[in-house]
Amino acid sequence: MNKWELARRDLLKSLGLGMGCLPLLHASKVWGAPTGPRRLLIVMNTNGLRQQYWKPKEGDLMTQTLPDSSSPLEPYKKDIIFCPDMSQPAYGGGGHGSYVSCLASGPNDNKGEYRVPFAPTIDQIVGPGLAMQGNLSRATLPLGIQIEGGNAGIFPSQRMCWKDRNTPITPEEDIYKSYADVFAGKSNAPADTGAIKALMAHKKSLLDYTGSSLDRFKARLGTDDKEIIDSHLHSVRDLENQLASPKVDLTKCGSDPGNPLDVKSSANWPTLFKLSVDLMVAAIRCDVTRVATLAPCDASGSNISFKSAVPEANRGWHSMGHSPVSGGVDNKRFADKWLMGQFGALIERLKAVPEGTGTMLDSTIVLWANHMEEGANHNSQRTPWMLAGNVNKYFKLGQCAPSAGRPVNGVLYHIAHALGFPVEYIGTQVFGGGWDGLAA
Amino acid sequence: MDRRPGPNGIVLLAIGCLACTGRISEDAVSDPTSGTKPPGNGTMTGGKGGTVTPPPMGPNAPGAAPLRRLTVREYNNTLRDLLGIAPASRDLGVDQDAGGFAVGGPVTTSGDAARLLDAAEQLAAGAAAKIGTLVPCAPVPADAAAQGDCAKKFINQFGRRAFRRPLAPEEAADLFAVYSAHRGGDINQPFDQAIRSVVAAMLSSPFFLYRAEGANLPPVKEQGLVRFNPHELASRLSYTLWGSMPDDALFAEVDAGRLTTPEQIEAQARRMLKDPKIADAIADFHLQWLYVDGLPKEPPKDPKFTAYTPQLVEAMLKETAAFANEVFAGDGKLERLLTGTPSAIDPALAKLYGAPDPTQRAGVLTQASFLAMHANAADTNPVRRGAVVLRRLLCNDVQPPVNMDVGQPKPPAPGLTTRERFAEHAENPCATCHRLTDPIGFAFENYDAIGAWRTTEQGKAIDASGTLALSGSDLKFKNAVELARGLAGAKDVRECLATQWLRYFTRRNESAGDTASLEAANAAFASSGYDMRELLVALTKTRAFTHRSPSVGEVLP
Repeated sequence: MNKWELARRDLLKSLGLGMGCLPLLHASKVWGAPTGPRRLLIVMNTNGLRQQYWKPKEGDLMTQTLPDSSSPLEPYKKDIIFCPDMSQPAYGGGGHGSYVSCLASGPNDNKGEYRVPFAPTIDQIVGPGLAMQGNLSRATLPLGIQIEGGNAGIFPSQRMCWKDRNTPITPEEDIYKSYADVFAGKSNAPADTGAIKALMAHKKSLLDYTGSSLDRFKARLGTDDKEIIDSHLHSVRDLENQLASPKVDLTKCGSDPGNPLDVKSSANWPTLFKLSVDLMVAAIRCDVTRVATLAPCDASGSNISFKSAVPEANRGWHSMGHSPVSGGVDNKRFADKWLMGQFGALIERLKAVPEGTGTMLDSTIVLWANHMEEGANHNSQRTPWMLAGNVNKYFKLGQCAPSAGRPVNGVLYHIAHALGFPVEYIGTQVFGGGWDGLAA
Repeated sequence: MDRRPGPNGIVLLAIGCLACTGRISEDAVSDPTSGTKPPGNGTMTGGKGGTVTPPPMGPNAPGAAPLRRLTVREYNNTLRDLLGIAPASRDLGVDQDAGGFAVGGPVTTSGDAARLLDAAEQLAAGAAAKIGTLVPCAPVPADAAAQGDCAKKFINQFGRRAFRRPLAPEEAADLFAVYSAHRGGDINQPFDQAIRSVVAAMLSSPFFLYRAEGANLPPVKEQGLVRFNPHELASRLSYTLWGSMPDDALFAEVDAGRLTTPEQIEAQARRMLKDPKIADAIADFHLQWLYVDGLPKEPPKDPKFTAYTPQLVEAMLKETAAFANEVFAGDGKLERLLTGTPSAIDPALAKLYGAPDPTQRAGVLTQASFLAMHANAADTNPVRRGAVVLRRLLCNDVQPPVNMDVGQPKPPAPGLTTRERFAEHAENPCATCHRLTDPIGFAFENYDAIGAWRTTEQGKAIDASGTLALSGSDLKFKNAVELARGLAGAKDVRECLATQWLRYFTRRNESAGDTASLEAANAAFASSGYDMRELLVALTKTRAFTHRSPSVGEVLP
């Protein structure tokens, strides 16, 4: 048995998946170790981008000035790749449904607009393996903002990450709880040692009981039902491990999120977005996890308001998508520009952290995704994604890639390879391989 | 929770071409996500390592009963009835779809586990004031040993309600171990706090969170099937008809061995239909059936709809829920559900509707919740409205096409009515599906994107007429009111409603093995003059409700 077969078996085991659920790994090019541990950050937006104000010309970014919406990225042109106009052949059609399955982009249940993917999403393909490399208890850190209030409503429109079919990853929508879960000093934990020991023993007792109940519960179940309980059981064990692991001091990786805001208030959404990005960076900086995802909305973004940060973007995200211009003002364009500013700010944060001879950006891939071309057309077949980061010098940065008509699967394929997972394909063998022009 | 077809009418417009299928849902039998397994397929492992002979395929061999977690609604209702407290508002995740109705979502991450544990602890803490009434010793003895005896009694008594069946001795022992761990060592809690911790443990247990009341009892095998034991039947009744745990009367019937025969089950079903808790289930079914339960309260509609406020949305949903209950409390007839009008209307809604006019409104399909939900932000969407009627009232599970790019939909053309814009569907390859959806959807063109009545669009008179092919005859209609009246008397709709209720009862799609159950339910429905209450009672006596097929891989003693 060669090394990759072993690695694949371990990876499958850690994923809790059957052999058929993961793209085949093969022993292709073995990439050298980057400066720091390899990491992946994903932010998935909706309602597309106003293409005429966002999309650069194909080719070298350094020889052109970015359009207005993209102009906040002007200082980071050499660190990024634009991938406009990509197709999603596994999904087909348009609408909001591609939010659910585009990070898997493979077979799905083909039921209605929102289709449950039958394969893991990229975060779940690489997350467990990266966590194993660092002996971390947290494979991914899934964050979300105001998803529950979204217009789409219908399950699975509120989930973009999947461990497998029927196993969506539920993002934590309370950013303050996420801070407390991940870092020391942000929870309601008592201060004195005796009380901490009592609290830990209490939690351990309850979790031990829950775990043993689950074991007893599943004894007679059929295969499918047993998988449901196994997933629950693994979740409890992961929680036990996280509680047993010492928490990291937030001051070593990031800053205090401040007094809690109402996480359900639309007026706070822009601040919550920034806090979420801050936490993602802090979490990978202190190696709490190596994969963090942010869903700043459900599949529609109907309840999301930029207004408190961008007065001109004075309608809901979904509404602006359908009708970008109102009263002669292109509201959506302002929202798009603000988002590009947040992408730039994220790059800046990663570049600001020295690591080895470079910065944290050199060992991190950022996928800044949108599952739709433009809100006005709801087209999923000209998908605009962006990449940042230079993991192991894998990517050909500083370009607007020749991505038109090419499947998003190719980007996911290259992300997996750059992170050290040489999959044969993502999604399906037919169109799940890489395409030329992205790798250096 | 909402499982409607989608937030954007543009979707079906864009994708509804060529490859769609107008399948009746029998083929869901082989669908891995439908929650249904074909009975008899595969090999089942026997308890002693042997192989259980697969049950025969037949019209009265219902599918398996997939394991499911309590929905958010069921969880909240159960805690109300178990602890007498309103649950914490903490998000427990979202429900998901099984057979077109909600089931609890899976637990897949440490975050999910943490949320469940936190909720259990908060609920147990919230019940702290009631601990004195819950424990079977008042006053609580001072002696630690006597307190231990009290805790043991509590575990068995409270556990019987929390797990909805008696606890096995080893289960009671595990819970007493939790109690003991909290009375000493590092934790060292007093009696009442330790009891709280036991309550939190029970609320974290899969025996509370999942619907598997027979999990610790030997299955009752019967003709290759598994018959639900009385504890399971009690919960199947209570979670179907009340969305909550059994009450004391139902528990008493189980304990007395009086929940076995069809007559006994029927007696309980009739009792439960008269209980006020039925209102919650009636509302839940109808909001889910019509795919309106996720009607957004935030402003997803175009700003021109200034009347569309969260308060109006709430009134829309209340109208549909209350009207369904009004029908059930009245004659219970399907015809009234599809053609009647509520006895009272919220003032804001009345303003939207205008003066009552039976030529404009008839039944739930002409209520604003349905019309607003299945429309675009700024304009109507005949495809979506038609597709919902096809799927939910006619059980024609029309599906969007697979793996195709149909490009961008055309923008609205100035001067054209919605019907004129959609006419191209009938003239290109998209007609395969749209000839099914669009004619039904056009019937609702007299209602704008939030359900207000209109007679013109783009300065032209609305044409809401059409023809719908039903079994045995064509239904011609001039507008939605005529369509609703036609549907109310249609055999296809009556049978589909029985199917939808069966799906709601079982939370799975029907299979060929449910044929006899559906025939029995339809016969009872017909003989009652299509009284929906009789349909529900009839369903509780079917094999689809009282039996299941063994699951593949299930260990049967």
